[in-house]
Amino acid sequence: MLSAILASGLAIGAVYALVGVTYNVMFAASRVMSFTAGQLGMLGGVLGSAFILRLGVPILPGLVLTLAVCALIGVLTELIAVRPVLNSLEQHLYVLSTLAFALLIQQLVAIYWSTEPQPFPRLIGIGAGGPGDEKFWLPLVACAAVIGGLEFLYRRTLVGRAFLAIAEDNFAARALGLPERNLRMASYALAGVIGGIAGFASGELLLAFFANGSILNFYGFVPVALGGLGNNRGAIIGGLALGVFQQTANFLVGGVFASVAVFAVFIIVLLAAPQGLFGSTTARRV
Amino acid sequence: MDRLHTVLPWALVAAMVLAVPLGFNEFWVVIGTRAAIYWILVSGLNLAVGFGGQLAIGYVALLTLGAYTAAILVERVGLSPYLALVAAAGVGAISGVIVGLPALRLRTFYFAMTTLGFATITTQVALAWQGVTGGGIGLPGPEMPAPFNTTLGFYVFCMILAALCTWMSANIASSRFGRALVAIRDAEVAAEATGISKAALLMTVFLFAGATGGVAGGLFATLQSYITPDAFTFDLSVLFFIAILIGGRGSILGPLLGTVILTILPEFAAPLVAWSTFLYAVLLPVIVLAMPGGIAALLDFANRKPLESDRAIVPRAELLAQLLTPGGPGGEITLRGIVLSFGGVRAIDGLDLTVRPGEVHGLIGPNGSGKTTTLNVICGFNVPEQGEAHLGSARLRQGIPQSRAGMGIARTFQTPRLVGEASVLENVMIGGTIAGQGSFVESLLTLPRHRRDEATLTDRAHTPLE
Repeated sequence: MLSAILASGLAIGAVYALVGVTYNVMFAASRVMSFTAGQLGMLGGVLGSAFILRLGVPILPGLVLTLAVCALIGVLTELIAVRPVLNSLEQHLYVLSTLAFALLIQQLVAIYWSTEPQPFPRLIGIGAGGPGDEKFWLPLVACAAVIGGLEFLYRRTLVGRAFLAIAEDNFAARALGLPERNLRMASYALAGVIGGIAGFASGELLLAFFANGSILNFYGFVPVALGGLGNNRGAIIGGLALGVFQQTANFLVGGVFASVAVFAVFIIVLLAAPQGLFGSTTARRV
Repeated sequence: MDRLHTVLPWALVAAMVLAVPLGFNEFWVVIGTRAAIYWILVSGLNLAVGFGGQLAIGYVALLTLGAYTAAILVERVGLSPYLALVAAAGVGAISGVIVGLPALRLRTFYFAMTTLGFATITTQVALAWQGVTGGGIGLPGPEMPAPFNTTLGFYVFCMILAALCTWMSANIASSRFGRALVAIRDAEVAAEATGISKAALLMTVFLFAGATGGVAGGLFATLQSYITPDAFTFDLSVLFFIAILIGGRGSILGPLLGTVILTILPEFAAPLVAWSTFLYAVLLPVIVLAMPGGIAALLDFANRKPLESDRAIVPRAELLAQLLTPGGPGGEITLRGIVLSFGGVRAIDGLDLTVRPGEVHGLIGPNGSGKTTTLNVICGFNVPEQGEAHLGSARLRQGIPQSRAGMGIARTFQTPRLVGEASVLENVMIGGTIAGQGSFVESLLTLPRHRRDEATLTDRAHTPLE
């Protein structure tokens, strides 16, 4: 039983962590927290199911197509919901514009896809529903892959260093001649891909369901709030911890307590440590 | 003429309320009841969103809580529906405050996210707590006793409550609390410098908004006659929020009309129902960017008069004697060994300063020498690492800027921080907020002390303006 709780807790936690990283990647590039992060996670599942099950695309091309569309949605977020209001960051218009865009995505999926959870294809076929089933470890593998990929990107490539530069000091980066606007768009595309990976990898666990977007929006934000804005390490630790905590509470005392407890912890941490548990505002964005 | 413009729209609203049961069939009476219930929630939320500028987007959660509280108390405990409504208001008020807590310390996105998360978990709990809420199967809404148990009777009941909420929220809007809310929204720092406590004010408003939300929920349960978690979609949250934006910030009539329009809009075109969220989502940025004033700006005839062209700023020293507190402040301001640095920059390095009453002092220094920082320490905005500040013998507690106005310390800013959407008179009256004696509840019900406050404040604000 313990292994079942751990398996599902870590799996769902990995999804929360990835959505948290999606928030962070968008935030690092633009200082904007976007409500589309959870919707991208939802789209990863819905698009994967749409391409592979409905349209009959093989799995690998289906994954590529899904991530491509998610990247496009990321870029569209930047173009439609972020860039027009970026100059008025003080008025927090981005809260409303990204919320509006997120609602648009959700409603379009509800209308053209379905308002009921739809099945997601079996990707590999390992495990038979037990704790070792692929639906539990695929999100973890995806999470590890994204961490490794981001680490490589940020440490070893010029583009990655440019991302870090605009995240650290936008003005200085522009003074050095970095194409800030293009880098921001690239960051949003990257965020789209990460969100898409989260959704695709967790498709078998969460199914292709339009309402996953708002749930992931909140539970993906909790680790960001716990770990501190822009702190990916905090988001991943926070996400995994949240997942395990939620599943344990679910099993031991029921879903009512689990939901209330998560929300209570969220509010208490926000009040006690507004910068998050793992860092300060100047924490390195890894 | 101005008076006609303010009374006329309200007369039309009242005529509409009467016309629905007289001239339309039962279907429209139900729609009218729904609009009234939504408005009961929005009337409270409007003070937080429209006046206070807080992005509370998940208020469907309060409707849910109110509905389940009332339904459970009537169905499972056997309480009277009226008492159940009161309990719903209580539960709503407490939840409103809890969800509002992060708004005190954190940036808007966090608060928006908290209200959204609250909406998410409320639905989850309603689904999961089957023994109490009936889970996905739901439970029947409370039935009102006669004479409110018919469609028309319930319409009348909801309209009475809606009118009451309109009256109360309008009372707050025109009181010092309403002005303070707008000041927090548009000029937070200046508001604190005039002694407005953001925390206390917002908590009170969230309490009120939560209570109206809870009552609306209880009524909603009766209207639905059977409630399941499905009835409380996030679309409703968006409807409440957009109604306020369409209506216009800082208005009562505008959001009221916005609520009515958004409630009846889908009834005219059935296909719109599926697309309503889509429509709201498109409307949201359009209103914010293209029509920030909303309906209220369209109805605002009074402020369309062009300004007189030959205005001049004339200092009037003779007024000072009337305006300044007789007897002066409570002693001299003394700073002892104040040290304050920002990162590696030491802005104030062991400052000792005495400012005596009755004298005009100047603080001179090059850019970046810590002049404004010194003022900020005196006013409580910056907390020094070492040293103490006193006014007379009283210690100035650091980090609590809203405590300064009460001690007689006022400040201006390098660039004037005016509340753009308030009139000149209201801007001056904001300065007198702490002079008010009446409580929030007294303003809510326009009790004598509130009316006396308003009269005194208006009078005092007129002195320098005439």
